[in-house]
Amino acid sequence: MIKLNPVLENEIRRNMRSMKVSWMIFGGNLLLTLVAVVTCFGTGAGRDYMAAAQYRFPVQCYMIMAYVLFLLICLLVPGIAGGSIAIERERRTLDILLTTHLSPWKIIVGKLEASLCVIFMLACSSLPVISLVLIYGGIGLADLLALVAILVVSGIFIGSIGVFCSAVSRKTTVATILSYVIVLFLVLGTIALVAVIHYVLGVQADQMEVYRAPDVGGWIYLLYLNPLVTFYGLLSHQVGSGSELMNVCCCFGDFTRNPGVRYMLPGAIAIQLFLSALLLIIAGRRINPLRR
Amino acid sequence: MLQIVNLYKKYDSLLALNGLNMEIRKGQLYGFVGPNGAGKTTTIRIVAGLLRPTGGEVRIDGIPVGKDVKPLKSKIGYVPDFFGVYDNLTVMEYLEFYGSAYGIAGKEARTRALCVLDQVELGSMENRFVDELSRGMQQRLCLARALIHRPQLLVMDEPASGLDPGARRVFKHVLQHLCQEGYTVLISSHILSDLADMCSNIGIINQGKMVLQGEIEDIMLSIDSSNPVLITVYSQMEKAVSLLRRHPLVTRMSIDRNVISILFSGSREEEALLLREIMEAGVLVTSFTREHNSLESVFFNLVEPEQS
Repeated sequence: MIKLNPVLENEIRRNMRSMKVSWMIFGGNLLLTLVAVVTCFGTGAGRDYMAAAQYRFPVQCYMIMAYVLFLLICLLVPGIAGGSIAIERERRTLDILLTTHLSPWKIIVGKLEASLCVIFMLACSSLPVISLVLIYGGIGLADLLALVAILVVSGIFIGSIGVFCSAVSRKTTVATILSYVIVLFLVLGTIALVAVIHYVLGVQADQMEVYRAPDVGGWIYLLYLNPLVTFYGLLSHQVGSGSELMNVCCCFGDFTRNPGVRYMLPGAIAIQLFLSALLLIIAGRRINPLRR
Repeated sequence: MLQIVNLYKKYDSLLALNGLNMEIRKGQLYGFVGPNGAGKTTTIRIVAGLLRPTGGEVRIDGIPVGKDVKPLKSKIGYVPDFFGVYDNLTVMEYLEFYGSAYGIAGKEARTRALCVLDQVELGSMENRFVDELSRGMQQRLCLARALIHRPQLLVMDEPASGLDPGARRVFKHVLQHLCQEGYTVLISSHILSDLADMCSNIGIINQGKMVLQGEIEDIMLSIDSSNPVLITVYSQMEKAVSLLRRHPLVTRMSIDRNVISILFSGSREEEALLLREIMEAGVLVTSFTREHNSLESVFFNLVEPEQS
């Protein structure tokens, strides 16, 4: 028999009785179904039954549904993970948990697993809808598994940020807002920051006597922290030529020979997993009463 | 069972514990009393492993706190001053969760849960949702949770605060039962009359220091010995008064109708000898007793002068 982390087991039991998670899963699936239906009718409408254009449907549908799933992770995980430890502190059950045999690390990991569990349930329940694309071809089972894997990596990274914020904040509201702010910065802010730096360098280059194309240099590595970049990188390999991520990076400078940018997808996955572990360790130390 | 030696705790510039010493033997029900901010909760949190002391040593059953955490956690059951319960869980699920947090799972956890529910007089409540229970029941459930791993020492921080007198009475009864079963209990409370009724030992803390500790009867006796002796005389009042005036151990005397109040600095034996002397002088006495102190008056005598 598999021995579950008691914190995870308790959270699953309590979550399954709350309507919040049921509504999340229902809403997520409804959204995905709408995407599938709209994409299907949008592509096929006004054309004949077997028109050639319809073969774009599975790829488009898959891409949109994948982005919707990613968006759901970005929206749901900080909300769930962000309150995980802080709510125990507010309810004052954290002290009681810390007097049991559960180590701070086990409590932290249990909370992260519980946050990911909701996403896992959402992903599993949406499989029938996502599998629609398999009927038409173009997307294989391996692609679906790779998508799940990258969603899990993004979930772990965003969840770890949420759990970290929850461990350092006293109030659930503060922890949740902080988690959303950090995730928003990582997803949109890093790209915006690189773009702003590139723009400033471009303005400076225009004033030079000899024009040199602006290059953001090391700032491009900020994108390593962006879960959207890893996600985009994977989808570009699955439904594009595979060079889309490099093309995007080259908008900010000449990175064609930069191995750090060429292998940004595996590098970013590794960095994000490393940061997740680091954040969880810090969160564990933070709630450990004997290390405070 | 619990030894605290020269314990210090400093929060920034505030010295919460200032060389606290305390000893609790196996099977004792130890009442921990002190005014707000005296250091009770800090002491209890250090004992429960939730706070690191600045200095000094705490030993539970010979094991120093803060070193080998797991065996220590097995020995302590911690009951805070709040309920610490989860909604959406039944009583049994709540206890099973904490059982699994101590590595007790499956049938064993269920058996233990039923056993501790009986101990705290919540025998038929296992299928009720936790949030449906009354405050008193929730506090007893919290106590059951602390007993699930069969600890040797129960550490309770004002567990009866916020409970009505009826719920407090049941809680007190449960605690007395647990002590009879061999548990050692450290309980802090503001309700001094409750502590005086149920505790075998008492410790009074003020400004981070132990002001007084020992067996509750001894403490009462030692404090009582400075109280006046009240003698109710039925007849031969003058004889009694003249005898007492001449007695070398009587330092002060006042008379209120047929009751003579004297300050007597002798021992218990000398008290008995005085009574015999009065009786032999032909005075008829209906009562001869030293005025008793309540724990409350002891507490205020010790704590208030220092605060003022």
